[in-house]
Amino acid sequence: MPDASTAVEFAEFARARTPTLLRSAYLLTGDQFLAEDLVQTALARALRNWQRLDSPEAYTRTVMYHLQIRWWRIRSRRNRADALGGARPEPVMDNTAPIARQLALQQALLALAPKQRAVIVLRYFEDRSVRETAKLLHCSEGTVKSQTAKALANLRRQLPHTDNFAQWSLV
Amino acid sequence: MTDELKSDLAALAERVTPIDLTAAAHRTARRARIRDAMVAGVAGIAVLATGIMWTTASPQAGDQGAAEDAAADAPMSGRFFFLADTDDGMQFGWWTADGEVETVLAGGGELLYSTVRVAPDGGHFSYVTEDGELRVQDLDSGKHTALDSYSTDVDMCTAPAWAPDSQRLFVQRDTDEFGFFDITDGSFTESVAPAGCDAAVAVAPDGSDRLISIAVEGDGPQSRLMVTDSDGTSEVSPLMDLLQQHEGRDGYPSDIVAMDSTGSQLCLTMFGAKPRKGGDELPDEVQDLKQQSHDQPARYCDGFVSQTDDSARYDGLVRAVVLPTGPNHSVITAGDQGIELDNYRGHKVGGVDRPDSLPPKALLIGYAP
Repeated sequence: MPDASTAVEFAEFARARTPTLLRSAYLLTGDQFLAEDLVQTALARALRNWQRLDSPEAYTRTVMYHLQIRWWRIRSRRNRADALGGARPEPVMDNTAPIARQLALQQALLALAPKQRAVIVLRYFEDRSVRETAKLLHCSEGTVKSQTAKALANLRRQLPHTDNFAQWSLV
Repeated sequence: MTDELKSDLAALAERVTPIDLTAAAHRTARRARIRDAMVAGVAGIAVLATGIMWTTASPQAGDQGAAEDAAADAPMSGRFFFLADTDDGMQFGWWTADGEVETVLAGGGELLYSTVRVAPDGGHFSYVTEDGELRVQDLDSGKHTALDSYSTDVDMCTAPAWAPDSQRLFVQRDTDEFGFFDITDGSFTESVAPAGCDAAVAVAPDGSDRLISIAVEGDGPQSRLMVTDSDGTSEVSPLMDLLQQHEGRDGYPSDIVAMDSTGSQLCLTMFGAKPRKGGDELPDEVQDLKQQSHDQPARYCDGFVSQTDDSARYDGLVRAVVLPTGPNHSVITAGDQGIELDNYRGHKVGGVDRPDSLPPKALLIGYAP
């Protein structure tokens, strides 16, 4: 049950951490509005449990990743993209342009299974260890390693023309 | 090298536009049900307790209190419905006070836990799938019916809610489209829109439908409990005055946790209210008004069951509250101490422990007598 000071504490936390959370959420969802939805929902959960949280950021981040894996809207967006059929842009192969390269990576990320996308973002964007990633996703370290390997393999398959992508490894 | 992947991810992440989500998070928190706290096993889950045990409260002062204790001193012979987040997916079922456990749905990976609702008579339960399909299952025959398909692009602020008749399901189909599905024939009848989110359905004194909801004001935590009648008229519930009188002007309702069939008894979670550990008697004006019409508040809960004479028992969050319909106005709470049956005044009159076979993370979501 939050006390009267919760609103102030929460506002300070939310304003300070939202930009960082949004960046991870954007990689997870590939969409500004979905990223906002994801962070907003995770923050709301943190707010509801505020007085019981030892680490609001850890809690919020954990909720965000679990929601990403389970959330219907993410799936809905993927289905919607699939439904667009021919209207969906082809992957950009000219990776010399940074923006084209980012878009190609974004499409490749969205094609991954949610859990694979989560391990990629945690391991290679947030720079978290296998152990930290496993703890955050509530799975074993072995699962993190196997999901990472599969994710990297899938990315390589989808981005065959990207320089150095073939060299991505579990290192 | 992975350095290249890292730099590409970092560059891609910078494409997002940072915005302040504080106010939006407040709004979302209001809409979420208290059961959402069980997301992915992250938050604490109430552990329900086993077997059966009964205690009878000591007589209350006054005829009314004694009458309530007597009325509530009856076994909880109905079904307790649970929802559990297991390794194999969501599990839904029920158990009884004598220890019988029945799993109705297991491995419900596509089930959105925050949308699961049990009809007041315990005959059906409803839920929305991740794909946006609204389903109803007959708990006796096991028959599934797909009633509707939601657009998952719409930010729904009201989950499907059963009408007290247990035959109709109130739904938000689109941003401005609300109505009732009749589960007997699948027909849809459009209705007025509630004045706020998180709507619950009650029966007005004239027998028509009445929607109780929570309307957000501005970007802060301010919210009001609203009453919308079938003719479309909405008004602020007089309960607001009482809530703020009791909780202070900074206390606002965030969720309707449970409500009786007439809308005269509500258990609410409150945001920004002063911390309460219980111990207060119901204010006199509540006692006086509680038997009157819908808009006269009778009792409320605020996460803590605050209007109780026995504060020590509720020194913690109550994770679920169920208000079964019936003359005794009893309240079932599931907290860290197990399941308890309380009478109107917050006195414990019974309890149920949890069967051993119940999933460890089972959360009480309903009770049908």
